[in-house]
Amino acid sequence: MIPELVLGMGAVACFCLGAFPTVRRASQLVAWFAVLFAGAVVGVQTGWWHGHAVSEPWYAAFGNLFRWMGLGLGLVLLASMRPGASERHEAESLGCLLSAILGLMLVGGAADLITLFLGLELISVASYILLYLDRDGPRPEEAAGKYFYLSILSSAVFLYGLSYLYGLGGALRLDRLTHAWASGAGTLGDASLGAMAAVLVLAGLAFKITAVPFHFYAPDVYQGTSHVNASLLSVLPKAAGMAAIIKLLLGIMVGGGLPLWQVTLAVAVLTVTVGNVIALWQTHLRRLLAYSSIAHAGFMLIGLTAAMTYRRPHQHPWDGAGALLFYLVAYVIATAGAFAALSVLRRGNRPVERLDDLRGLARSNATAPRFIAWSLAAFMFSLAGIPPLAGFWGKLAVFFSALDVGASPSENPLRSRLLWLAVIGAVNAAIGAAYYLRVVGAMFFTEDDAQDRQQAAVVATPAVVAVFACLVLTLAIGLSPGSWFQAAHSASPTAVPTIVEVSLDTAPATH
Amino acid sequence: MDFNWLFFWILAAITVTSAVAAVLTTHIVRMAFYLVVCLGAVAGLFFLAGAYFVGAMQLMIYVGGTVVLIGFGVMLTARTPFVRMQTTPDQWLLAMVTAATLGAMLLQATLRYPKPIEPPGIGEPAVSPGRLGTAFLGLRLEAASSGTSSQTGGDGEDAESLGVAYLLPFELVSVHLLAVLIGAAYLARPRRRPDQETGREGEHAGAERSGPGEEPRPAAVAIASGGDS
Amino acid sequence: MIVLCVTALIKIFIIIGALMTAAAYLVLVERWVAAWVQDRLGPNRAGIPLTKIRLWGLGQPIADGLKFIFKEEFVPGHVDKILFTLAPIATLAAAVLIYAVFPFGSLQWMAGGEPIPLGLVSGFSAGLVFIFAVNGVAVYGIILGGWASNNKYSLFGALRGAAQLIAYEIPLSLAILTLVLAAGSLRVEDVVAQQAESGVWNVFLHPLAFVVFFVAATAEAGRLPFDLPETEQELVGGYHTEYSGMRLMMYLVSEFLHMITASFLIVILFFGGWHLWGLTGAEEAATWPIALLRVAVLLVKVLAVVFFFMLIRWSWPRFRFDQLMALAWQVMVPWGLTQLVFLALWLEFVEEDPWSRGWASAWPLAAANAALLAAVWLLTAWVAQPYYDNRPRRLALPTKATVASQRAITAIPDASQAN
Repeated sequence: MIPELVLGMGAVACFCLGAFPTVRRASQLVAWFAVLFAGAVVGVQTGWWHGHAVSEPWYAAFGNLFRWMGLGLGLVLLASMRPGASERHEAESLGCLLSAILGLMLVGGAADLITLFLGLELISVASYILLYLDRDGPRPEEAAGKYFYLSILSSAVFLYGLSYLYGLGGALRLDRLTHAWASGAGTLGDASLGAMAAVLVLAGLAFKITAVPFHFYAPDVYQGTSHVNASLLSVLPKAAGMAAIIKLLLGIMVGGGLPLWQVTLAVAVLTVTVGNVIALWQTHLRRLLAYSSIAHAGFMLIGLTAAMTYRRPHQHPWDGAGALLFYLVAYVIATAGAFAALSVLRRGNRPVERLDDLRGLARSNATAPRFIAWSLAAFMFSLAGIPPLAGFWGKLAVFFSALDVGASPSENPLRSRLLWLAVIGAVNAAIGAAYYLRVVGAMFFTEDDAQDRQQAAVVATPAVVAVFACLVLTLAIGLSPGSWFQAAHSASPTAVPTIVEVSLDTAPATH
Repeated sequence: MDFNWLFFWILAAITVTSAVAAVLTTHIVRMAFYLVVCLGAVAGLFFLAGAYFVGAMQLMIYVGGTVVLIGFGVMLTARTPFVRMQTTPDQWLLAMVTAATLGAMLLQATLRYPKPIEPPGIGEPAVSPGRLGTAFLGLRLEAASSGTSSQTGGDGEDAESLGVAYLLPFELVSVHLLAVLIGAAYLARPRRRPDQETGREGEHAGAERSGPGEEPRPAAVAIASGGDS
Repeated sequence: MIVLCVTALIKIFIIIGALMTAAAYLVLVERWVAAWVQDRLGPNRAGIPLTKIRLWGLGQPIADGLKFIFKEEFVPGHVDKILFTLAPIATLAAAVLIYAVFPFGSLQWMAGGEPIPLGLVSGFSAGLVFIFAVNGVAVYGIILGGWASNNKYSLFGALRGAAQLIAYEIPLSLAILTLVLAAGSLRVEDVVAQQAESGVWNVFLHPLAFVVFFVAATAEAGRLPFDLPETEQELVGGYHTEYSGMRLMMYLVSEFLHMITASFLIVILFFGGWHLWGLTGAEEAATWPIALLRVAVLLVKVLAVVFFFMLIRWSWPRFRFDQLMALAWQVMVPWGLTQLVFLALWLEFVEEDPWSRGWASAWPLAAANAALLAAVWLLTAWVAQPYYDNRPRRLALPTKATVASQRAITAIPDASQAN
């Protein structure tokens, strides 16, 4: 609980400092101190706080995973915020950033629906303000407006779903809801109320993770705002949304006997295909990364679908939920690193925004642009899933989790569909590699032929250190993924899907 | 003799009628007004069902909150009165399909749901705030725990966990509100867009160019100085 | 059930009838008070109709009412017809609705049995929430009426009114929250019962909350220091410029009802409701004579507060809009928060139940709260001195300090600068 309190107080302190012009510069210090101190506390005291004893054993590990993720992202984003660029709003921006991180940590650790929802909303509210305060982006009003209106709509849908969940389960606490659904609350009546709850919750969260029917805001918003904000939008809501999906769908509803896998399977196929295919034509870097983030949401949903249909009785590397979490970690590090790398590059006083702006970066005379080019290439390779980087193991785990269902006991009726899902995922990974390689190619294999533009240069900020840290992490995870898989598995929910009994009446029940 | 059915049908009729009116009217302020009527009638339904606290909250949050909508509507249409919201046929079609799907799902779910618990008679509140109301304040937890379980909510959670469980969300909401206030304060200030002249590909000198001397002129001044001249 | 309905209907008739009569006669009283303050005679002619009997002007309300009823219901051509008609109705409905939860006491039959509550919805478990919920609905009548009139001055009045009511709802709620925290209940009856049983009225126990509530309630009622929505000198008639006849009367009556509501709330929440030491007893249920005495005590108290409101009206000049907003956001909200937090800390760390032995146990809290009131008052006066200087701007020398403090304090710049 202490790290959350520290972050919350840091956010409030930043907001308050913003009111006094003489001391508002101190907010930078406050923010760094809050994040570092919270990190130190998490490091010392790894136990997770619960308002009440939670009977599910995976909650603690899950909460800690998202605590580390939130704090790490907080450091990267803090470092990427260009000091001086938005001096007038610096205190407010930092306060919003801290509360967004706080939101992610709370979603990870939430043991009841209210905290879960408030954590998600904390991220959303903070990102509205950050988008609006942004001065770097080309079209901040469009970005802020689009994100705001669609996001509140999705929050409303999500909350509507939560109210059904609460009404059916009769409790706000997640562990009680799990028991309630396991004992048939989700299929009360003729299961239509349970289906309502699941569909609405999934629809609301699909917006946060940019899954396909709700993805269309992402490219416009990312393009309209700055690199830092795009980075925040592509990691924080996605991680929080995934955490909520895991907690609600995998932790609670999967035991309820609803054929939820049909929905997630369709969404996964659509998301992964749409994201990857449309990304092929993008020339704007943030748009490209927006479609890339959509595609990655699709890959994660493949893991989710696998986890919804089959669960091994013991820990296994190809377990769907663990694969999802591992993939999320790899994705978050690579994406945050890529945006941080882009944010330090400038041409003249203009940020680097288009694919053309990256031309010849690796052939630059200075060391710093070359370092950035190499790191960016590493992040792109990691996102594309090329060994030996973190993303490779993520993709591998996700595909194998789907294949693993295919290899599950022969009674499981979903084998062929999950096999097809894995195949579609693999094809898409190949498509995805194409556009990531375009970025790499622009940096390494083209000359900077533009006469009217200034040379790309690196602005020396703490973001360079952040890029370096992300690079090290990407490599480290890629080289020794074992302990990370271990961590992801201890954090994955233990509810057993009851998919097989309900999905096909003719098939006998397994496990 | 029980008049509840009569009041139910009256309130239900008001709810449905005003909801339909809110959809059909093309006039933004009227739309918001019908919405208020609709929400108010729903609050009446809550009162009728004995859920006084929920009803009062419905009044306060939804009915009271819609004033913002009306305020915006009024300010938007103040200059050119009676503007209409144009909806194209394809938008209608899309909205109708979505709404019909949702409506069908809800209707089916509601009709199939097993018969709910008998509503309590008049004077026996089903969900009463009791100590819950003060527990939301985050303090007096012992007061929350001394309340009987029938007062503290229908889900049978023990009152002790109730008091503790909502302290964190309560504090979270206050962080929310602080952030929202900051955002609203900035939103209320007019944005200067120096790069409007140079176009969107122009120099990004937004923050640098704004001089310290110029003071923003909030829109609220128009209200303040309405007749002072 | 029939009995319940009939008694409810009777209560409704009594309350609404009494309210309408009271509103009519309070207009007369207001004019009398005005005359008294300004040292003139006031209305004293109208008496029994068609006779020469004057009766100190008591016939005036009848004449006024008849005038309103027989006036032409003129609807200007440029208005939004639907909302123009609905807005005053909504205002009046909201103004009357709030009386549903006011407790006038409780009546115990001689023979025993269940006490009959004197009040419409007695024991309403969320009464205090209901009160500020319905209070919030009052905004609609003003903003919709002003907008539907399609008139510049009406719109200005409406927007001012909306801003004012919304702003002052927050200190009002904070003050009520203090009492909720004290009583541990959202029932209005419990607040009264707590004061009656301990014999310590809330006004002594939470004077800061009282000041905040009083100012906020005055502002919510739109009484003179706060009557910016309808300033005659600036906005013709404010949001009801275009109204006439019965529609106008609905607005005027609801304005008076708001004042009566505010008085009722002040008496019930802060002055012990029907309780008076040594006279009415402390038990909630009472026999006939005591119950009637209580109603009388309550009404006398309410009248006293109403009279005080009227005195204020003729003693105070109107606020400027920026002062109005500054008072709400920079004085009343922090004061209300201070009171709420202080009481919460006191109940948590010092004394959990200061009401248990009446004054004997309550005096430390009362003394501490009085000191708190003095402290915040002096602090505010010291910090915000240049800003609350009410002299005309051109006379006050704009020193560097005043300018700086204005910049720091206010979000809304001075109107004269903006023009």
